[in-house]
Amino acid sequence: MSLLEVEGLTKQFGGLTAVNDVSFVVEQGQICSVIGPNGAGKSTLFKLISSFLAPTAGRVRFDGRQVSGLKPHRVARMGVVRTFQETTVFKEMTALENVVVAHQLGLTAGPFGIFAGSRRARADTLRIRDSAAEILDYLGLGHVKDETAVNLPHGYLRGLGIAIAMAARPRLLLLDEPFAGMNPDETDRAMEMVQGIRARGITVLLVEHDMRAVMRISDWIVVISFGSKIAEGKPEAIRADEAVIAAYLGEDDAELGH
Amino acid sequence: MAQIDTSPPAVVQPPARSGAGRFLLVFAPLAALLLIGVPLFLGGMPYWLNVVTNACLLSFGSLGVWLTFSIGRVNIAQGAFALIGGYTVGLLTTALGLSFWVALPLAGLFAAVIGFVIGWPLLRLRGIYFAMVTLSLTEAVRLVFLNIGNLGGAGSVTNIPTPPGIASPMDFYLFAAVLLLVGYAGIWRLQESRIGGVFRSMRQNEELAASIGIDVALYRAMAFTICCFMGGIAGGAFASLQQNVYPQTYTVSDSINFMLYCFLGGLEFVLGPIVGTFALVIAFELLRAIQEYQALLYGILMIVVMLFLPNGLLSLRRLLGGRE
Amino acid sequence: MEQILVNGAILAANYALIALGITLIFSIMNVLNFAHGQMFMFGGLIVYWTVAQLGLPYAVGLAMAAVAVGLIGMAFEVFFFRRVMRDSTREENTMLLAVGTALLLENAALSLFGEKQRGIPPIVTGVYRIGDAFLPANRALVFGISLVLIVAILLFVTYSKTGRAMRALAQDRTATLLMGVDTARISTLGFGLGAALAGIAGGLLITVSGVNAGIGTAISTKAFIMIMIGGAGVVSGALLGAVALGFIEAFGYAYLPGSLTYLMIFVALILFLLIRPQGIMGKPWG
Repeated sequence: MSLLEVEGLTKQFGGLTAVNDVSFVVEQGQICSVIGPNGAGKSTLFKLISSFLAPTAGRVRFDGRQVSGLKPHRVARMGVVRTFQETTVFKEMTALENVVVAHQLGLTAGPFGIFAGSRRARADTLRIRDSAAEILDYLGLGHVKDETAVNLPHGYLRGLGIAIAMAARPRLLLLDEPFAGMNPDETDRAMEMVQGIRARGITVLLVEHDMRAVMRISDWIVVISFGSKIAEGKPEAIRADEAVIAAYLGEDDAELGH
Repeated sequence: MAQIDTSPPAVVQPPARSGAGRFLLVFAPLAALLLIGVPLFLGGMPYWLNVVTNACLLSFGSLGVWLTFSIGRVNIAQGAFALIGGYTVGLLTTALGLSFWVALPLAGLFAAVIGFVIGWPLLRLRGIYFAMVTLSLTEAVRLVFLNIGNLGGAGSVTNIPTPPGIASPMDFYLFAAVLLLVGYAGIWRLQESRIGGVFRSMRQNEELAASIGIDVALYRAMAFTICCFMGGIAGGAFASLQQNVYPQTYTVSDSINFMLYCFLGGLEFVLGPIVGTFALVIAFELLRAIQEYQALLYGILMIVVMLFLPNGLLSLRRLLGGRE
Repeated sequence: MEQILVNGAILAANYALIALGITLIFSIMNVLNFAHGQMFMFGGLIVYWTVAQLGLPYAVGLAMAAVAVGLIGMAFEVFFFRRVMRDSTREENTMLLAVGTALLLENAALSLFGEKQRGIPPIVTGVYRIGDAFLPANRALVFGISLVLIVAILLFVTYSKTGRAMRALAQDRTATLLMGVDTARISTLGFGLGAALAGIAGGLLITVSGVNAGIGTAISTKAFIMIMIGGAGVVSGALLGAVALGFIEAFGYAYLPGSLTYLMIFVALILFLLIRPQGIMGKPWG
C-alpha cells in the first residue's frame, strides 16, 4: 500500500475548476514533487492534500485512512504536516520557542496534567526542549535559537518554518515551494536539507516551480497544467516528455533543468 | 515513525524550577500587600476598604479577559458574564435559599457553560468583528434580563444575603483578596504551561498552529470559557457584596473597562490586569477630589498612558532599565 | 403602515450619515472608531450650546458642529492615531486607543455640559400628511438635509481628486504612497470628514429627540451593528446596513416593546454573522 493516495481529486471555485481529476500515489521514503507552470493549480492541490481545503470530488488517503474532509489539525496529527509559502512562523517567539510549541503533538500528559505541573508533564517539557534544540541544530539554526523570529534574517525563516513542521513529527512532510526566491547557493543548501529530512525516514512531497532543483532531488515527479495531470514519472522521463515541454513552452529554458 | 533522536544534549534549564522562583518573586509581595498591607492601612477606612474589595473582584474578572487577549481576541463581553454570574448567585441564594458558597461556583460554571456554547461559533470571528460582536453580546444579555423584568419575571434581585461566615467588610475584603490571589496563581500557571504556549502561538498565526496539529477551535474555546467562568465568579461575588443585582449592574462600559484594565496594565504580564485595575480604580477615586473635572482628567490620564506606555504600565519597569 | 415606513426612512437617513462616517474612517485608516457615538453626541451638544445658549441660528450651530467635530477628528489622527500606528507592535493598540478617545470625549462632555438631556426646539413647525402617515416638518427637514449630505459625500468620494485619493488609500496604502499621494494629509482629511459626518448627524438629531453626554456608546453600538450587517469598510454596505437598521427599528418599535426589539436585533445579528462573517457586501477575509 502506498503512503499517500490521491484519487480523482477535483476542486471547483464557483464555475472555475482549479484542480481537475488528479490522481497519483506517493510511496514511503520517496521525495515526490508536483510541478507545473504558474497558475496550474499547485497551491490548491497542496491545500487539498493537507486538508486546508475540502475537495469538490475525489479523495486523499494517507496510510490507508481517508484524510479529505478532516480538520487540518487532525490530518497533522495523523502525520501529514505542511509548511507554508514565504515565511510563516510565530513571529514574537524565539526560534527555540517556535519549535517547542510545535511539539504539542508529542503530548503524553493530558491538558490537566500540564496545568497541574505533573511530573510527567515536566519530563515532557525537558524532552521537548532537547528535541527542539536538536532539530534547530540539524537544520543549521542552532546558533540563532534564542533570537526572536521577527529579528531573524529572511533566509533563516524558511528553515525555521521547516523546523516547526519537523517538530510536529510528520511521516509525510508537504513543502510548499521550498526553493522559491532562492539563489543557486541557497537552493543547493535547501536541497541538502530536504534530502536530510528524507534520510530521517520522512517521506517528502513538495510543490515547486523551480524545475532545476526538482529534477535533481525527486524520485518521482507529477506534472500538472491547467489543473489536470499531464505527466508523471522519474525525472529523466519527465525531462523528455513532449507534453511537459509543450506546457512549459514560453517559460525560460533553464527551468527545464538543461 | 520517525523519532527525533536526542543526541546532542542541549543545556536547558529545568523551566519548572526557575518558573517557580519567578512566580514567587511577584506572588509573595502581592500576597503580602493584599493580605497584610491593606488590612493594616485601610482597616479603619471603610470607604477605601470597599474600593479595594471592588478592585479585587474587578481584577479577577480582568484576569479572564487577559486570557482571551492571549489568544488574540479583544473580548468586550465580560460584563455579560459578570451579569449572568450576578443573577445566578442572586436567584440561587434568594429564591432557592442556597448558601453563597454553593451558589458562587455554580455561577462560575453557569457562565462558563453559556460562554462555551456561545463562544465556540463566535470565536471564528477575529479582529474588530469579534470585538463588535462581543460588545453586542454584552448589550444583548443586559436586554435579556431587562425583558425578563418587563415580562413580569425577576428584573432585579435585591436582599441578597451576605455570605455565611462573612461578618464584616474586612472579612469580605479578605475573601476577595484570596480569590484574586488564587486567580492570579491559576492564570500564571496556565500561561507558563504548554497550554499558554499554544495560546500564544494561536495569537500569532492560527493557520500555522492548526498545521502542526493544534485543535485551534478547542483551545480558543477553552480560553474563552475560562474567561467567562472568572467573569461569572466576579459578578456573583459582587452581587453578594452589593446585596443586589440589576440589568444595569454591568453594561457595555463595564465590558470595555475590563478590557482597558488589561491593556493599561500590560498585556505581556499576568500581573497586568491587576495593576491596571487597581491603578485606574484608585486613580478614579483620588480624582474625586476635583469634582466636575474628575471624568475629564481620568480620560486624559488614560490617553497619556496609551500614548507614552503603549505596552502598559508594567512596561515602565523595562523603560527604567529594570530587569525582565 | 405608512407611518412605520416614513419613520423608518427618516431613521435610515440619519443612520446612513453615521454609518458613512465610521466606514470612511475604517476604510482609510483601518481604525474602528469607537468614539463615533461620542462624536455624534458632541455634535449635538455643540448645536445645543450655539443655539440655546448663544442664541445663534440653527444653520450656524450645525456648521459649527461639523467644523468642531471634524477638527477633533483631525486632531485625533495627527496627535494620537498616527503616532500609535507607527510605533505599535500589536494590532489591538489602535482599537484600544479609539476606546480611549471615546472615553476622553465622553468625560470631556460630562465636564463641559453636565449629564442632563439637552434638546432644542424644532427648527420648523407644522405637519405634513402622506396617505395615513404624519410627517412633522422638522423631521422632513432633517431627512432632506441627510439625503443631500449623503449624495454630496458619495459624489465627493467618487469624483473629486481628494475623494479618489481616499478610495485609493483604502485599497492599497503603499501603492498610493508610491503614486505620490500625500497619504498623511489624506488620512487626516478622511478622519476629519468621517468625524464631521458624525457631528452633523448628532446636530440633526438633537432637534428631534435630544442628546446627553452618555448617549455615545449606544450610538457607537448602532454604528457597529450597521457595519456588521453591511460589511466593514464598504460604502454600499454602510448604506445598506443603515437602511436595514432604520426600518427594522421602525417596525420593531411599532409592534414590540423597545428593549425587546433590540434584543431581537442582536440575536439575529449574531446568528447572521455566524453564517456570513463579512456582512452582506464585505469581502471574505481571514
